[in-house]
Amino acid sequence: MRPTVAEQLEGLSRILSEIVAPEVTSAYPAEILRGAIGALNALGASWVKVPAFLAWDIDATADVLRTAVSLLADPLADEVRNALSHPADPTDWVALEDRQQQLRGLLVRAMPAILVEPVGGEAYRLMTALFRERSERFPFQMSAQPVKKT
Amino acid sequence: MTEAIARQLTKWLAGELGDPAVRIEGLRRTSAGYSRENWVFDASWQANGKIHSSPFIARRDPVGSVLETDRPTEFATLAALADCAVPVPKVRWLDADGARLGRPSIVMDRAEGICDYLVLNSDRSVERRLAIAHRLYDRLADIHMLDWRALGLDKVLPPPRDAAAAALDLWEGELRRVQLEPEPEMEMAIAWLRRNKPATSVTTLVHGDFKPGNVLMQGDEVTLILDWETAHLGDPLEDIGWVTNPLRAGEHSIPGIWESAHLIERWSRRTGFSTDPAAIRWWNVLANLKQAMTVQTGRRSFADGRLNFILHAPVRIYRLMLELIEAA
Repeated sequence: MRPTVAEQLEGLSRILSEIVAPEVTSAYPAEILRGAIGALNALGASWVKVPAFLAWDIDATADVLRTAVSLLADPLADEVRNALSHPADPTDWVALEDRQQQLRGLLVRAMPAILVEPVGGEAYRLMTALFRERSERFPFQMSAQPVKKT
Repeated sequence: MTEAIARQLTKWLAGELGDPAVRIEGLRRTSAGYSRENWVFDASWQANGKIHSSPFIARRDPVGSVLETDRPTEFATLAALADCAVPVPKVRWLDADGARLGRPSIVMDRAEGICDYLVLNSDRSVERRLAIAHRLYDRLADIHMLDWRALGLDKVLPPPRDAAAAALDLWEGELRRVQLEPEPEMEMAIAWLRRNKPATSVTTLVHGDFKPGNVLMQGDEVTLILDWETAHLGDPLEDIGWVTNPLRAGEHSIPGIWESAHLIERWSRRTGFSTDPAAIRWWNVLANLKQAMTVQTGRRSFADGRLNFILHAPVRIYRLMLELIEAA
């Protein structure tokens, strides 16, 4: 499928950098444009990593919930068991996004039980390990570097 | 947009300065300032038969921001601080409801100088940088030593009964207001902060965002403390937790020469206030929660089409919060 998504993003960045940016002379719009081009470049470099990240995040969050479910009371425990028994279609990006939100929402609701577990509890250990690894695997920087002034 | 602002400013200042022929020149929006629109301009007008001219800056609420704060409170705070020992911008006029510029705004005098957020790690000699650090953080101590009752600040900023609880309630409330998705890392930090809340050490004026980038300098001298939009009455350890936050060490420290321990020791000596390490650690975590909340607010503003740059989940801040909590 050409131009590929990466080629399209790269091309749009080039158009903005080479055709539009030189004509933008006011300081504030020029800075916003440099930021937008930087964000487009970051998207071009990272979008391909997003599905793998979502799949990993879903699996790792599911592991925490699976371990924590014995700490939970019904109906939350039941809701977690039910959610864990219905995996998302790994080829459907939107379904992966929905699934990630669903499981992270359940983790928030399970957290009070996880946090009262004695320090060193398995669910707590898995949850904090998830948070650490997630910060390494997250596909985007908090803010993209604006492209330099030319 | 610049032409429209120029027209609105001219009309506003004509009324304030009593000269229908007031002239606005050099109006431009600066790139500085993520939370407010900053418009700089020069005005000239006639009064008492004489021609006057002066540089001003108008700070206007943006359509979308990384921080939602209140212009009338900022204006009243700066007005109360006008003649105190801490140098602050001189405020001129307030547009509380946006009747003048379309959105709430403040006009203040524009002073000469430079904001250099990396001044402590600039190419000056170590001796000069250390002297600047002393001046900077002595000013922070001076803020904490102000007699806020005598200045009437308690009429503008409510004194909290429990400063840590008030700060946590504020930022948790902000999370509930703006969050786009479940945030387990933020929830874990909030739960830890709720369980380990320190008692208020003393109630003082708190700047809320003290950093070299919010200080105007001429040469090596500190001439103005800027950006008072998050100022409030609270625990001064909130500011100490902010300036010793490992996340911002590159701005507040000179490696090996001026680090958190030096800053805390000098501040404590100058103010005479206590520096309980566990309380400072708590305020370090709160500082990261605040920092993460500016990103969450920005993410919401972008998603709503009100912010002109993209912010992603602050996972590095989440990680640091976790490390601070686990080391506590």
